[in-house]
Amino acid sequence: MAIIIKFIVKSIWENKFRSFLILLSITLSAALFFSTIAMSGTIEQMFLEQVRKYIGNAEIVIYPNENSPGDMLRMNSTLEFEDEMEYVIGYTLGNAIIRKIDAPDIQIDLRGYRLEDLEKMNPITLENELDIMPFNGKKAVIGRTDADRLEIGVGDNIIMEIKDRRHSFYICGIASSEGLFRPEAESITILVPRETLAALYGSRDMVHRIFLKTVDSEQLDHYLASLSSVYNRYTVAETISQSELESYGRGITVPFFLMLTLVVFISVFIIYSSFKVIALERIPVIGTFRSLGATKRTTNTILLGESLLYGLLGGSFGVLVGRIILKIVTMVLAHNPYNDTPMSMEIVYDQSHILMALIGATVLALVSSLAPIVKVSKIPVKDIVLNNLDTKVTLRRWKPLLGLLLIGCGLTMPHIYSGDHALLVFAVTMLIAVVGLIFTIPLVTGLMIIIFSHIYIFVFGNIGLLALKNIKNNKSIIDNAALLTIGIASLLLISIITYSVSVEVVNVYGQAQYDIYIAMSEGSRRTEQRIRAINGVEDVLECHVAYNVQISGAEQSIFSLYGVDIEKYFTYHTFEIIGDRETIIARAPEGRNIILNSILLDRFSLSPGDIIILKTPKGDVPYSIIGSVSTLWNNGDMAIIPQKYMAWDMAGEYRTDYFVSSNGEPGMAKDRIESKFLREGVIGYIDTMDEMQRKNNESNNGLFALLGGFSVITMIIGSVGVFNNYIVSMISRRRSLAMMRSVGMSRAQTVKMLFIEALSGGIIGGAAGILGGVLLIELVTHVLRAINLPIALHHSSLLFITALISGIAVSVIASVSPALKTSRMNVIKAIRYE
Amino acid sequence: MSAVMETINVSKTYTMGALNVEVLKNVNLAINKGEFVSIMGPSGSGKSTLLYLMGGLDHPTEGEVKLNGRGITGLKDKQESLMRRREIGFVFQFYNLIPNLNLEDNVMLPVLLDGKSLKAYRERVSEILALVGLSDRRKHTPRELSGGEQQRVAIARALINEPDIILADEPIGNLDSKTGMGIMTLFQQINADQNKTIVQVTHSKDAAAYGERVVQVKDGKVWN
Repeated sequence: MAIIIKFIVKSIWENKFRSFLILLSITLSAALFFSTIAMSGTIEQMFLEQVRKYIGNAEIVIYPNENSPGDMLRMNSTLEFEDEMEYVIGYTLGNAIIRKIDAPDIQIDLRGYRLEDLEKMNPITLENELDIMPFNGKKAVIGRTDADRLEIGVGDNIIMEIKDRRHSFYICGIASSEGLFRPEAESITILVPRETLAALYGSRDMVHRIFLKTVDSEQLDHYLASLSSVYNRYTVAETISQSELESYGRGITVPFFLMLTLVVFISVFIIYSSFKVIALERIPVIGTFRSLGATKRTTNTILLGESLLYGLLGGSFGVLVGRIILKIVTMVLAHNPYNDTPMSMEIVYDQSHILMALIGATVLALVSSLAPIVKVSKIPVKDIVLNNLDTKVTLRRWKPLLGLLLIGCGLTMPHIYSGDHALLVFAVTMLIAVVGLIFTIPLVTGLMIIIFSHIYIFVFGNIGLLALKNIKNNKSIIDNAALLTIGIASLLLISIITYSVSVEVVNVYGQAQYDIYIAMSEGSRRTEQRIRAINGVEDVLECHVAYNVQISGAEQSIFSLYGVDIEKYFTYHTFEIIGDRETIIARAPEGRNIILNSILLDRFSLSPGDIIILKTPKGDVPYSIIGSVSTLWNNGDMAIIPQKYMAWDMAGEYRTDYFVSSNGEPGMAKDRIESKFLREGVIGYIDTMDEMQRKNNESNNGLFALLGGFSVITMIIGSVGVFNNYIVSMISRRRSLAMMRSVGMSRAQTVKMLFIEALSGGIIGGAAGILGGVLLIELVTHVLRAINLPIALHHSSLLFITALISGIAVSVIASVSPALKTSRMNVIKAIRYE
Repeated sequence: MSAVMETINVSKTYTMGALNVEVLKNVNLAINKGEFVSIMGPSGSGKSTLLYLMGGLDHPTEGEVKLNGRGITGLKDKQESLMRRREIGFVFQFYNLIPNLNLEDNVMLPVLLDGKSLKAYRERVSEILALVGLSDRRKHTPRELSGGEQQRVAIARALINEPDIILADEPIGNLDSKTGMGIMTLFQQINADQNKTIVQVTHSKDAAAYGERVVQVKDGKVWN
């Protein structure tokens, strides 16, 4: 056994470049695999950190709505559920302002909790404290970052204006800036005793929210229903569901999984090609071992052992590199252009992720190398010893036909399949189509040779024709074309998606005919008038928005349902209305009519004239579909109903947005609006449309930069693979090339011929890569639809030209060193010895 | 008779690690036009080395090689390659045909490398393939031929550019005796009919008998 291990290690060491290439492929594949599978947990953790500030680990929240008698509620009705809950915690909230003399006023978000309650739901870490217990009266705790910003410490007093009255609070604790005290750009969070804040807002015994956590979360739906019947004039809801978390994560991780598929595919290809050569090289040694009595199992172990070692080494390195990639991904995603403070950058992974990466790398290496190893193991000992090896290249004429069939299947499947797991199915069809394209490369090569032969005779002379004859059925050239195809296709795919998203963002924002967007927690006709009265505001449109409105009798929902003055809405948004625009706008307010986005019509298999039943707080309510719009606003997941029906049917369970057109500088108008409503603390979000577009682009650019990084890695692996293939090709053709030298081919002619072969291979790979890119783009539209991102794809000719030139450049550059080396080979040595 | 090929005080030393191995020592040999010469000697005597020096595939450590009175030692690669295309034809033990080219393309290779038009040489190719008895196999690839047939193609390739001299390294070393004698008969026919100068390296006395002169190489020295 020791001899076998020694032999394996020595074999790996002998051909360092090839070993490096195989190891690189496995390492990068393992790294990307590890970072992709760990990404879900990390992203969910980032999102959870965002929301933990408000909800901690609570599962259920109860809060007042439009039907409630007031904006506070009592907790005594939760007593009957106490035994079934880990906790029932009341929470009060409020707003305050710290007035500054020579600086802008500071908005304070007051959070009223009992300390012991916070310990259960959203624990804080106190860095400094002074007389914190008992936590009552006018005591306050603040986060470290915010304390530094206000230049205060424990023992200090701060004056806050609450409901137009000044109150002095004693800072009894400074906490770590996480969870509840996670810094926000726009405001500062201060923790005060619950009863103190409740008293300031009217009732010591009441709270603004009740948070609950169940003992048995499997019964969550049951408790939601029970609490809803007890608190029937309030909203009882899940704080955040696992499906919401997963949905949030999926939008980011799915593209990475798709890229990972391509990376793994290219790695399989490289490892397979490399092990074909390794297996061939080992034949004499295997013959010796077998002739001395070694079994097939022993000789297979030698080869598989080498593959296993690559897998283990590559997997180990891959996990280390994967951590770095995950850190980079996290840093990019944590940068939130909508909020100056970054999200949590803690990377989340566990032993299972590491194990999966190691196992994945080992399986990758073993599976990729299996076919060549099995082929060699089948050669009879006699043939090995007598060197009776069949070196004939068998033409598998069925391969191109199978390739065309697979491409056809890939293109057809998305139009036929519409069930569950659509995303997985479409991803698999993308892979099938790429495999099919690779099978057709010999066919593409044959066609291109016919075309080239008419051109090369004039451009390159006889050497060009000789080069073309060498390309035909040359496995290495065809393998290189395949590597280039995968690399270029993936680069094209990401480039086109990136380009398309930027075009679509411009298009979507171009449809907004206003300057400022405001999201408010509470809104009214008076609010609209107050905004209108501000200097710089020309006009205002009020809009109610309900989110995730369920469709009765279906799993589906409408992400955003807008209740608006329909005529005015369509002057503020120049969406394309499908159908008679004037009739639809005129008829819409006349009843419970709904205008759906065309993407939703398609998704729900509905048509104008159909009835759609919405689940509302008032029960199931039918709406008549009178038309549709075509827009990617809210990723196309939106619908419009008349404002009065929103108010009636949604019972106040909606947010109020305002769209503001400005007759001056939008930025200044925005600042005035913000300042006016600062004390009330009702503005959830406000920004100019130009800024929103800029931030949208910035946010997308981060994600696409990462995806671009993945495709660049694919191209790097592919390029190194191309280089290796050229080396292998030169080695396997040494004899032929030496023979050509012996009959009078000069060094210059040798280099010229090899250059033309590389150029042609690059053109073929580039062209096939473009075909592959077009194929993937056609298929990815279905994947995007499956993840509710139905963007139209745009492209420019420049992208395709760049792709072709890249393919040629990679191929030619990779061939330079092997070609120069080959032209200087010792002719006699190459000719005389088998 | 004028000398087609001459070696003047040619020596060849190979460096193998720390060792210098003198394979040929002061070899003086002249090959006249139209001669059919066999170079014989034990393994490692330097006979193949001598052949490759004569063909310009290798360079002497000392001395000079002349082709048609012209020194070929020290030629630049371009001139050397031109010489091999037009003035010398090589035939090797293992045929050294290009596996992915058909017979016609293999035979035409020196012509292609010379930048000449394929169409202009079609008739010449037909003549030569007829001479070696493979007219009906011109579109076949080497894999579809026997050893003897492949060697005939190699001979045809060596003849295509009407070289002054054909150098053959163990031309029948990989063939059975009957096939081998067929090849030697072909060489003899080419030598007689076309007055082609042929120099072969061989172990076989039977093959050497087809020539008119035998040159013995032993311990790096030549004995006529």
